[in-house]
Parts: sequence; C-alpha cells; structure tokens
Amino acid sequence: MTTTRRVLTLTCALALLASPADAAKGGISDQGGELYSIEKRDLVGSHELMLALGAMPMDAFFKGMTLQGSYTYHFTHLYAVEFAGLYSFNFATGLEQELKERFDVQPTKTGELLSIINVNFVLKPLYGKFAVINDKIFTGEMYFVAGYAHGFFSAAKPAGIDFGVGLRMFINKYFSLRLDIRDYMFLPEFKSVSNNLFISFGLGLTFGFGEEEKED
Amino acid sequence: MRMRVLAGLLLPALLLLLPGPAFSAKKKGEQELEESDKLPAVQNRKYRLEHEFNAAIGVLPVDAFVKGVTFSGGYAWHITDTWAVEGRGYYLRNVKTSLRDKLENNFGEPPQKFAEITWYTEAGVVFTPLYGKLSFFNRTLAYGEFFVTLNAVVARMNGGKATDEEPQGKSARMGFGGAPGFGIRGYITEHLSVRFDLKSMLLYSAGEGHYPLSLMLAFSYSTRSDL
Amino acid sequence: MTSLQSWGKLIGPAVVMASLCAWSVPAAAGDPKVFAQAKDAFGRNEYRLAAHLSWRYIAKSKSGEEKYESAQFFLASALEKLGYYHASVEYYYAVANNRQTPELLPRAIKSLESIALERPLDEGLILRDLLGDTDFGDLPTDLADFAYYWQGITNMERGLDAWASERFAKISRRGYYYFLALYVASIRVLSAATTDSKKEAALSFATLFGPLDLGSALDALRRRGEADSKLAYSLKALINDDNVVSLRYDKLPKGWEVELALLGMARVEAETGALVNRAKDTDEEQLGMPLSYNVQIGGMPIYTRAVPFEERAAAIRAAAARLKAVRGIRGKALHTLARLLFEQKQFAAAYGTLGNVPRGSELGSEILLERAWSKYKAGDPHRAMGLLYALDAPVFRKLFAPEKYLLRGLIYRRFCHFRAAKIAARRFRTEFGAALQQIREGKPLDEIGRVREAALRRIQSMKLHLFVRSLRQEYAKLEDAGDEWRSAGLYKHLRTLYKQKIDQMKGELERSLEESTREVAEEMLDAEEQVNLLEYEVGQAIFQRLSESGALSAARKRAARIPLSSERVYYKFSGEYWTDELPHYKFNIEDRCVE
Repeated sequence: MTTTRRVLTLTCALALLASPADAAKGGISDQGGELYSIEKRDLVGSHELMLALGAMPMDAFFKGMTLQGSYTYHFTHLYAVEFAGLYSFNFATGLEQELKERFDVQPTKTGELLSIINVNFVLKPLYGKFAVINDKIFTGEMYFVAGYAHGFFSAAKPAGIDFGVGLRMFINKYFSLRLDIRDYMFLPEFKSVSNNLFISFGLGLTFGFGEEEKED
Repeated sequence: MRMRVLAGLLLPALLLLLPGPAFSAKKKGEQELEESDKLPAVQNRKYRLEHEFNAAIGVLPVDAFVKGVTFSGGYAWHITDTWAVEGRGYYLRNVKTSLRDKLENNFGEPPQKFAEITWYTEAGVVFTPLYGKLSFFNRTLAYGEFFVTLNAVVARMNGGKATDEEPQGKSARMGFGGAPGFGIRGYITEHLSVRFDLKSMLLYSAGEGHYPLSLMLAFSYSTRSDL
Repeated sequence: MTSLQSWGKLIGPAVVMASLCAWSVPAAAGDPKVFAQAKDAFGRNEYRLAAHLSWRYIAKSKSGEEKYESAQFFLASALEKLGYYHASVEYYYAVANNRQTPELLPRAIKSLESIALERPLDEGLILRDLLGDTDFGDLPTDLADFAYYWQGITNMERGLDAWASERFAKISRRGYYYFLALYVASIRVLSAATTDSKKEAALSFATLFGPLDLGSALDALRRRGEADSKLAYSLKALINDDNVVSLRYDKLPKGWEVELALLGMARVEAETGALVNRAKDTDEEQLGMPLSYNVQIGGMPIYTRAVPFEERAAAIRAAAARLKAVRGIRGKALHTLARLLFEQKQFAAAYGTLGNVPRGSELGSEILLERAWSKYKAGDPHRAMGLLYALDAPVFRKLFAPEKYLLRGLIYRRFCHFRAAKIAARRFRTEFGAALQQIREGKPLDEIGRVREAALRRIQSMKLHLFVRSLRQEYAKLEDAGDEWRSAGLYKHLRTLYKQKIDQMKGELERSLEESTREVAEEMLDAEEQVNLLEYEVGQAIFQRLSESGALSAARKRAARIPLSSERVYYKFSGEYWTDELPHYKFNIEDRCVE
C-alpha cells in the first residue's frame, strides 16, 4: 500500500470511528437513507355524489343559505372533474327596507342570486390523515378547484368562473365529509365583476371502487 | 442467535397460554405508556404549541356600508394539544363602500348615521380536535390543524341609526357579544405557523344587533410544549 | 416453577385458611337477621354494606354452621364488586375448597374463572392447588372444561403425561378451553423429550384434534397430490383407515413434531377466527347459518371443514361467552405459528402470519421485531429497517431487544453504510453499556435497573410482577374503607390478608427474578459479543473497500426513487410516530457497495 493510500485509509477509518451525533428527529438521511411510511390510499372510488349545505354571505341585500349537489368523477387520485349545482334560499337583509326608511332611496335592482351551475377541474395534490383528539385516525385530502360557473340571478344570467379550496375527510369506505370555500366570480355582461364567497359543509358518497390492493 | 432465541421461545409459548391480563391492570394516570394501553394516534408529536403570539390582518366584508380592514394582535395559551384560551385585540381601518359614498355625497347623509366598529377585543376558548398531515406529491408533508373557537367580544362602536335622542346618528358606545368560528392552521416550522380564522360575530349595542363576519389571516410565533 | 409450586402448595392454602379462620370466634352462632340484611344489601347493590354485614355474620359464626359458606360467598361477591379481587378470590377459594354448600360450588368456580381470565391472581393456589388437584364432580360443561384444563396442566407440569392426556381428553370440543388445550397439545409434541412422552403427546394431539379433522386434512392433501408430504405421513400415523385415532409411532416421519405443531396452531387460528367473526351476532337465525374454517399454514391451504348444523349454535355461543379470551388464544396461535415458520426458514410465510396477529392480542413490539427479522431473512432489508425504526416509537421504549441494534448494524453493513453501522453499535452501547459494565463487575443482577426492568417483562416474572402490583393497588384502596369496616374489624382483617399475600408474592417474584435476570444478562452479553463481531467485520470491510483499486466500476445501485404520483401514498418520516403507520415503514437506502 502506498503512503498516500495508507494516510487516506487511516483518515477515513478515524473519521468513521469518530462519534457523530445520532440521527435525531428527522435526521434519518444522515444515516444513509430516508424512512417512509408507504400505505395504500384509502377509498379511491371513481364516483362521488355530494350533498352540501352552505352559505353565501357577501351580498348586501340577500344572504343565501344554499343546498348544493354535485357529481365528481375521479380519474385518478390526483385529478377529477366536478359537475355541481346549487340553489340558494335567500333571506333579505332588510337593507332595501332600511335604505327606503332611513334614507328614502330605492336601490337599483341587481337581482338576487337564485342558483349556480358549474363544472370544475379538481386537483388533489395533498393526501393525508387526521387524528381526532389524538385517538381515531381518518384519512383525507385537500384539493383545489377551478372552473366555469353560470349564475342564475333574478335579473340576469351571467357567466363567470369559480375557484377555491376544499378539505375532504373520509369517515368510512363510502362516506366522506367535505368543507369547501370558494369564490364565484361573475361577469355580468362583462362590464363588472361580482364576487360571491361560498362556504359549505357536505356529505359525500363514494362508489365505484377498483380491485383492492393487498397491503404489504 | 436468532434461531436459539426463537427456539427458546417455544417453552415460554407454553407459558403464554396461562391466562393473564397482560398489562390491563395498569392504573390510569401513570406516565409511561404500556403497549396494550389504548395508544394515542400520534406519538412524539412534531408540532405542539404552548404560548402563541400572533399578528394578523383581516377583513369584515359583509356590511353594506363599510368594509373593515382589521389589524390585530393576539396571545393564546395552549393548555393541552386540544384546548387553548386566547385573547386578541383588533384595530379597524374602515373603508366606505360605494353605496355609502353615494348616500353621503348624493343624498347628504351624515357619516354618523352609519355604524362602524372602531376597535374590539375578544377572549375565549379554542378547541382543536383535528391534527393532521398531508403528503404533497409524496415528497413533503404539510402539517395542520382544524379548530373551532368561541369568544366573548367587547367592541367600541361609532355611528348608527338615528333615534329621537340622537337624530344625527348614534355616538360612540360599547357593544358586547360573542363570536363563534372555526379556522385552520398550517405549520411552517416548529415555531412558526399561519392560521386562517372565520368568525361570525353577534354584537349587541344600544338596542341593536350587529352581525359582522370576520376573516383573518395570522402569522404566529409559538413556543413548544413539552407535555 | 417446580419450587414455586412447592412453596405455594405448602404456604398458600395454610395462609388462606389461617387468615380466614383467625377471625372466626367460636362463640354464639351468627344472627340470621344479619345474614338476611347482607343478602338484601347485596341485592340492592350496596356492596360496602353487604361486605360489612357478611363479615359481621362470619365473625360471629364458625365453619360448618348454617349460612356460613353463603356469607363467605356474599362477602366474596361484594368484595369483587368493590374491586378487592384478591380478597374475593380468597373467599371464593374457601367456598370452593370446603364445598359444604354444594349449590355454591359452581358459582364460586365461575367467579374464580372470570377473575382468572381478566386479572392477575395467585395461580399456584387457585389454578394448580384448587382446580388442578380437586375432583369437583358434576359441574356445568364450561366450568368442567376450566377444571379439566388446569388439571391437565398441573399433571403435565408434574410429568404425569398419561393423566394430563386423560384430563385434556375430557374437555368438550368447543369453547375457549378446547382451543387452549389444542394449543398446549401442539406445544407438547415439540417439547416432549423422551420417546414415551412423545408418544403420549402425539396421541393426546390426535385425540384433541379429532379424527374427523385429521381425516379431512389427509383427504385434502391426497386430493392435491401431496400424499407423500411429511404432514400426510404424520397424519397417516395418527388415524387408521376407519378414521379412528390409532397411533403408529414407528410410522411417524422425521420432523413430524413440527408438522403436527404447525397444523395444530393453524387449526386453532382458523377455527377461532371463524368463531370470533360469527360470535358478533348470536341472533337465533344467524346461529344456524353455515360455518366453516379454512386451515392454512403460512398462506398454504391445508383443508376446509364445515361445522355440522347441530354443532354450530353451541360452538358460536361457547366462543361468544369468552370472546376476549378466544381472540387472545387466536393471537397466540398465530404468533407461535409464525415463530415455527421462521424456524422452518419459511420467512415470507412467517412475515405474512405475523401480519395477521390481531392488534392488542400480542405485544406489538415483539411482532414488529419478528417481522423485521422475517423481512431481513426473506431478502427485503429496506422493509426490515423500516420496522426497526418503528421500534423507536415512544410506546416501545421499554422493549428489551438488544438484537434490534444488531439487525440494524447488519443491514447497514449489507449496504456498506459503515458509519451508520457503527452508529448502531454505538447506540447499543449507549443503551446497555452501563448495565453490561455492572454485570461484569459482579453486581447482583436484580439490582441492575436495566436488567431488572427487562426481567420483569419475562413471562414467568411478569405475571408475578403484575399480581404484586395489583395487590398493592387494592391494598392502598383499603384506605377508602368507611368506619363500619374499621369498627367491625373487616378493615384490619383485609389489611392482614393483603400484607401476607404481598409478602408471599414478593418472595416468589424475587425467586423468579433470579432466573429471569440471569437470562436477560446472558442475552445482553451475547448481544454485546455479536455487536463486537459486527464492528470488527465492519472495520475489515472498510479497509478492504478502500484498498481496492479505483479501476473497479462503481455499479452503485441508486435508492429507489419516490414517485411524484402513485397509487400508494408516501409519508416521509419526520420524527413523529403515527401509531397506524408503524407496520408500514420502509427505509429507502442506497447501496454503496462497489461491485
């Protein structure tokens, strides 16, 4: 063995014999690898029907309590397409009355929102799990939606877009809970922009499961 | 060695058949976990909050006459992973809507006739039932929580409907009420997190009810609990 | 165990009877009104009052008088309801041992059985001395099985093989004790040492397994063209052509013991599994539905048997009556089956079998560790390493498994991660170094904390330790006793009872620890030797690697890439342990070995 090689050997051996800190939290990679938990995804059904109760609180004249139904086709665990429609049960805020009584003015009728239909692309890049009071574990996913929306107001039927984020928690094989926050952005006659915040809680029914993969 | 160990285990296997409750006689409240106890879903939890300090920006978007932009600061004490108490103070920068502008400018209505919140404080409890992690494209993990809040609110209000005693609109006064809501938190690091809160306030002031909706985005710094 | 039994035989009953008699004042007979009041109080669920009144009656009476045993029985029942299990066991023992009121005997045995299934108790006194050595005559079937089983065990421990077999054979062919006996019979064929005991064990196994099941297994093997397998030859030697149990010992092939043990465990697992599923619904209509069990060994089907219609309801009801215990024996059978498969080098089958062990029935840490070994031996070190990391979870902190570090070091060495291999060795020394030093210095083993802690978790010592702990808890609970207990003398009597038992059991525990600590110390020293060897080999490998010429092409296998999108979800470990993930960890490690 040459001198250089001897020195190299000794140096490396000493380096290896020196005591490094043990891998602590998350420091697995300095021990030559990374640790993963690899699990099969639960509940990758292709079809989902959803019924949700929601609210559209932004309109100054009417607050809407909504009933929404949707059908989502899940192509893969990563993306899906959603067809949805909602009907809004509107409650007058009394602003029109107030303007008349307090200020003796009649507002211009823009119309109340009656219903919306929309078709969305759904991207689901986040899949995970939740611990409920550190006891039971449920799986779930976070998704983003964007798509075309068509509003039906009492005075107009503007087109628009909608976008938002949602959280889905699987209760069991067939049922899941959903929380959606979206913005419906309508463009009446493409002259103005009307934003409508939408929040809903829904119950989804999933079916159309493929062959179940065996867990390793 | 392993073979010997396993072979040696055959005789204890005989002993295994003796009835016995294993660890079930354990007293509740003892610190250490035994394997057959009901295990928590998460052990050695990565994110645990104790003292939280946050600053937030938000909006009260629902009022027809004024949109409030809120600047707030708060403190929360996370007693356990599930329960916390918090307090927060808000300062509002109120922005008139176009409707109000028209009423003031075109119809000469005095600003005093429009109710506004100047500032408010709230204190209450936070219940965090959900703690979770999401795998993002199998590469990284996003950790977060979902919580519900219930707060008592004290507000300073100005303006409002004209009355016989105050024909030009209401003057400055206090309002009281509550604010239930919910939110989600996303962890950035062990000490930094972002939270989004949605609260529906119910305020009562000078014989009138007010129901503003509050949306808030907060940046938090917190110390870690060693529970 | 023999010495403990001897102690128990001498001291146990004497202490019990002395304690119970100490307060029997040979004076006037007890007031029947007091007894009636005690019975009423018990009926109204006023157990403290019932215990007090029963005690008052007993204190004023003597053994043999009317209602004396009944008062003892009510006292036992009231104490049981109040959580003073040991005291209640002592009085149930008195009732069962004296048997002066025959109608109380089955109730006392029943109570003893339910306590024995749920809680630690003085096994020497109750299970061996009382049940093991007493002929109770006519008992209801399930209680008779309880007695027969323990009589079989007691005789077996004394080396009385034929008597043991005769007792086991009396157990009815359904219910928890049957499966327990079949489990024991499967172990017995493996542990029998002499030819006579092997013959007895084989015969007992065949009797318990039953000619119908033996015949079904043999037919199934023949149909599949496996008539020449060892298992088939073993079965042929146990039954004749008329499907009657008839042992031809000389016809048994080499290794028959393992074949029969595997079959026995598989049968226990399969039948208990089917019964546990069906026991969830004991509706009359459901009880008559078809019931069958598939016996498999490591995923290989052996035979299927359908339970005849007339036996279904009874079998399901019997399982439902002791469901938790039946689940427990299923877990044990699976665990033992997996260990046997591992010994037979069927590592993949062992891994799969371990995965089927129901959660909570066996120690999760042991299952994980054995799965890790199985995966390593089966050639999947990534999975093995993942399972080893799962053992670092806080809940497994108390696991005594020095081989955990050894296996980790072996896997790192396999992938030429020498630094990491040395870290594994260093972690072993961090955890066990101090204890090993104390062992070498000659410190008494039970005074070395690490050794004692691990020894207390050995099966033989664990039971005693849990019993002593339970006794102490109940003893402390006596402080809640009200004035009436104190004034009547019940409090003092119970304190004396518990103190005596604690002292006795502590002595037995210390004796048991002598052996357990020795075993633990030997394992530690053995593991240290292996770790030293590993370090030496790693050192050799480092120098060997560095001394090779650079002309060798580095055909380094890259670690498997984590896909961006996949049917499976990957959670990267970040120091946090999610309990449901522990069996799913996989360590993605790059092979650094130069070919």
